[in-house]
Amino acid sequence: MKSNPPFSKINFSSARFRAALWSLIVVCVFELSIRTLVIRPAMLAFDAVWGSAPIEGACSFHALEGFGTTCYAGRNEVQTPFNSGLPVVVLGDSYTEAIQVDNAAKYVSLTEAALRERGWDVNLINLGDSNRTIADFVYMAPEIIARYAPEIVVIQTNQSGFFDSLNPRRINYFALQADGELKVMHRDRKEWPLLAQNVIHTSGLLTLTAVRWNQTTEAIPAGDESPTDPTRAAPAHLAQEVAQLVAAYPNSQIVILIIPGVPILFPDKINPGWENPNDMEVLSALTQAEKISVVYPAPAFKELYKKYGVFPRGFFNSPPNYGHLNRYGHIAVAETLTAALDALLKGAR
Amino acid sequence: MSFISIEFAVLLVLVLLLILVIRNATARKWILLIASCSFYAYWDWRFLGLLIFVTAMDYFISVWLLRSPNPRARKIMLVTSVTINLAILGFFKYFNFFTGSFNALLSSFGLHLPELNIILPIGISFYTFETLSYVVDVYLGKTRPARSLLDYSVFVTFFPRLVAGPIMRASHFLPQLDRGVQFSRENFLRGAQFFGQGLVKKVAVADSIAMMTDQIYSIPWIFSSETVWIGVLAFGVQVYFDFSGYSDMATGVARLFGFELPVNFNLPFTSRNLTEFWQRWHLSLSLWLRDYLYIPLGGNRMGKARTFFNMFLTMLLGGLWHGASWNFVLWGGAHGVALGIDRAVSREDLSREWSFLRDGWKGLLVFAWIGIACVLFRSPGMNVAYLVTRKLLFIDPLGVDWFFFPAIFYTLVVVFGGFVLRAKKIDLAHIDVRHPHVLPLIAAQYLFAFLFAAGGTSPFIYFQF
Repeated sequence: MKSNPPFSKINFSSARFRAALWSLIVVCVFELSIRTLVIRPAMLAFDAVWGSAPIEGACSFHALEGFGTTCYAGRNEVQTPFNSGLPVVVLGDSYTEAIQVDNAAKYVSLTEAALRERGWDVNLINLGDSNRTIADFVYMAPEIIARYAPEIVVIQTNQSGFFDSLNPRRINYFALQADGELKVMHRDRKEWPLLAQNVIHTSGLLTLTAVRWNQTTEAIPAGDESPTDPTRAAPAHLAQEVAQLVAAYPNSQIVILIIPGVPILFPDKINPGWENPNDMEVLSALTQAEKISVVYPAPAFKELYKKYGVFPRGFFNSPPNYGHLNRYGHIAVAETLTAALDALLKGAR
Repeated sequence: MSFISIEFAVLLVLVLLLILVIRNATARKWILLIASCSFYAYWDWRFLGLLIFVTAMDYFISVWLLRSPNPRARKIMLVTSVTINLAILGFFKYFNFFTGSFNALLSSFGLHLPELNIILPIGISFYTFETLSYVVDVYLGKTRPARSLLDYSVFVTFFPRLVAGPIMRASHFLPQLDRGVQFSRENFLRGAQFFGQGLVKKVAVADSIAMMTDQIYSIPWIFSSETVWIGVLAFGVQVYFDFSGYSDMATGVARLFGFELPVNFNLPFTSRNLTEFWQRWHLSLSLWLRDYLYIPLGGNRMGKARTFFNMFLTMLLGGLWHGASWNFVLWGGAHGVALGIDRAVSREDLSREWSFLRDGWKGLLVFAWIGIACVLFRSPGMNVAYLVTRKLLFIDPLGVDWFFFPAIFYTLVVVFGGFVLRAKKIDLAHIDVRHPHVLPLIAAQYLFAFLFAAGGTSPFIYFQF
């Protein structure tokens, strides 16, 4: 082993230059690796409804779960294969935006293609955006109706989509009034200036740092788990939230798509009954609601596993059946949704 | 209090600041002792009393051993200390294991021993071995006793390695303690380097692999044989990086105060045979077992058969040291048998220079064996170990194929990275950290750990021992 020189022998002017050089090398290696292997974000523009959203034609690359390239048609619309026909707006969260898979493999695109194959001239508009809840969909309703005048509104959600709607720390949330009714509230989004956002989004390293920072700092504090937290009281208000949705889109047929939380992989078994108690709670409230259709693709998920031995969630670079839908999951959801929309369109005819 | 927590960061900064401000050597030792007790009490304050009792008892016995001229009395005191230490360890760690095994064996005869709800005091396996070796060494005259109860208490409770090692010897630490806490730019940078290195190993590599292997060892029957093979092999890397990551972090924290901890791992997956592997894996435990169990049993001085028996018994007890379950006993036994076979078959000259082409494949064989043996180590019960083994033997080949890309990627990087480091004789522990250009590389470790940390940090595997 070579021994280190005495401290006094170190040439610091040269060493500082090398320090700067090495810093640059480290940053470049990180940036290149991240842009190639992890994330390449899209450029943003400001939108009154969506806040900062990807600009038209922007594409982003993600490899945090699977590999997927998602291109946008502006205003956060994820591109679908067809752009004309009967407008069907699909609102949802990250399961609908589905950055993990390419545009053509997302369930919205697959459903659109399948419906067209069945002879329906429909245009499915994918407005999936990570972290959205029912309160967002209600607040955005006037703008969405004005933009798209949808015949059908598909709302993809799950239990947290309903429960988190009552979280007052969100941009849009339901506040419980004195008379027991829910009222949608809006807070102005505290965002960084668009230029700063775009600088961050130009760099994979800065974007991933921001993602990690948010994950670290946005962990729910213990206080929010208290029984007095409004989101804990949410189950009692499920029906009211559904009623708000129906009222927000008075001229559209509403289809609620619940992404099943199944199969659950327990430490020692796979859930035998293929029932997720969280889903069941939401479904029981929805089945009592009027003017909505409910789509629940759990049987398709079960068939995927039983027949083909594949899970609807998880990717080759993430744990099995955890996280977002993989391409099999999107196919299963699309099959179920296509059948439901097909029946709805036939009924409307 | 885990190393990867805000609480630990606060404690560390506080202790560093206090030690910077207070120059008195004794006061600094008191600060270290109080910090160590706080660190330990944070896990479970109830066991602090046990730690204090063991520390005080062994200190006073060692003082007595030094002063007493009567060999017979000295021997009695040694036996007393060893017995009490082992009784405490046995009660807290093995009582339910032995009563449970006894009940399973003799329940058909109507015999039943009561099982108690005993909580395992964290770190007990580690500090018991340290206090044992201290008393034995003082008895044998191999080490001098600590100068004071304060010194000895700092030695036993020194918080960076209190809960999961490395297992220190008094002869290694007490002379450093005599020199006192030593701050320097080099110590700080070296500490930061080691801690960052450990952080990357733990949160980026081991925890990423854990997300996969946890699945394999929870529900092995739903996966294909190929997938189970990937998980089983990757677990070898996980346990290596989990534990060596912890050791690196402990070394880093100790180095901030100017103390050097013993080396615990030395590129174990580059080993040419199993004998060499155990000279490079969890060294502080391997050396302890060698010095206080294998050699007293007779070592290799009493013929081949006895050597194999000694080796087997040492490994068996080493397995039991890891945990009170038949899995660990079998795991230790399997390693004992394998080591015996290796000793009988291998003609490897370990003093020969390591070569990538000649020795790389041997390293791969050792790595594969460690992964396979870990089935017993990792399985939560014998039923899971059985199911995993069936999958490995392709008896139940069907199931979900899962590529486990991060596990494969990290496994390849760790194994072949080790080959490169050994072939090129690169020792990361001896990089000259005083050069400014090393700073960005140290910072890069922290950035990497931050960016590529797995979703959730799992507890260190060796904390349960």
